Amino acid sequence: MTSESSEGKKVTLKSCDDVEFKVEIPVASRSILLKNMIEDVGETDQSIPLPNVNEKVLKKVLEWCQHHVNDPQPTNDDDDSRRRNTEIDDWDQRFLNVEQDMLFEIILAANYLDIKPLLDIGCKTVANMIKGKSPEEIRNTFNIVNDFTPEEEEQIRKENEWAEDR
Amino acid sequence: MQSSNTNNEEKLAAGKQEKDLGNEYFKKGEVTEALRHYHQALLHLHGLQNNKTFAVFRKEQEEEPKKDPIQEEIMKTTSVIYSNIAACLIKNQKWSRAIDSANKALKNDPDNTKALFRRAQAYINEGNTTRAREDLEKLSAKNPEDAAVKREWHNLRLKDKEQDEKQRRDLKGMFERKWKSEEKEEGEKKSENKDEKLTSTAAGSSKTSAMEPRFIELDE
Repeated sequence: MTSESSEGKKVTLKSCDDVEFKVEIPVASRSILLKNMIEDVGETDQSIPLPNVNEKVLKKVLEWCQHHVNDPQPTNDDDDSRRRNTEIDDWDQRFLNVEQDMLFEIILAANYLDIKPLLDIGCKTVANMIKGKSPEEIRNTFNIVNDFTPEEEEQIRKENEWAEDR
Repeated sequence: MQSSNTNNEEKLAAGKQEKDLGNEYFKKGEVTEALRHYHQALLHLHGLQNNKTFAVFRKEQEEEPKKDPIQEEIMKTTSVIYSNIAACLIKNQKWSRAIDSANKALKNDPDNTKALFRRAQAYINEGNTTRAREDLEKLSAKNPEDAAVKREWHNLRLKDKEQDEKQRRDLKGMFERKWKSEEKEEGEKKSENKDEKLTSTAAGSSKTSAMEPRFIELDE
């Protein structure tokens, strides 16, 4: 377990704050951006710089990649089924049970690194935070300042009356 | 706002620097090193294209009047990088990866003619003559006198011929086997097979004749 050779080939990823992570290739390949790079360049001893992710977020993202290393790669990126499904499995729910700032950082990193399943569950988590809340509650949750005038608010309420669930 | 813009400017500069390094290696014929730097350039720029138009808000964003110049340059640069990656992958004969990269180049800049040309090249080599023809038609419409485009039309025609011949050989082999195993019903079967064979060659020749006029147009 201690020797590296027993764990397969690795690449070194370097966060924007210069922290290096040695990662097995299948784990790094959860990121399509990295997968393509590793595929095109071949195995390499040089570290791969990731200028848009810091250590804290990269560590978290790699934890997810490690846990999901054996998941099938999503084939069709515009597959409708990934949109329809709102369920998040238990491990992922626990994984994303973090501060809101961290959650958004993870979503941004998943978008940056092109890890679609992680991006999906991140966005679903945010969606679930919105679901069933009143506008005021949503504003509180995300620190949004209400910039509507009372007239505008009335107008919007009228336009959306049909959708009210009562 | 201001800070995110200067931040993007810095990343754009860093990405361009890596891209230029990649170009240098490419010119020296060091394809792998070129690829490494192109990918590193992407590591600077990826994700920036969508920063403002992120996910759910994309549709709304599209209706807005104009992107800012930095955003546009990021997309143009990204397109060039993907297009150059496609060029490297064509050298390495990785056709499907080359097509994938050319697609991304075109997504970032639909007017990237070089990317379109490289995608056509990759399609021809991969044997997808239908798609290759579509791309070459677009290229010819833009640039009817381009020698490189004419050359690819020629390559496409060779590929078409090659595939036609292969298909004919395969079909012939199939029929011969059939004849041997079903000698009993020779009379009926033979006429039926003949028909099939006739239609298949007819389809083949109509395909080439449909192509012919385009070459004539091109060569004018």
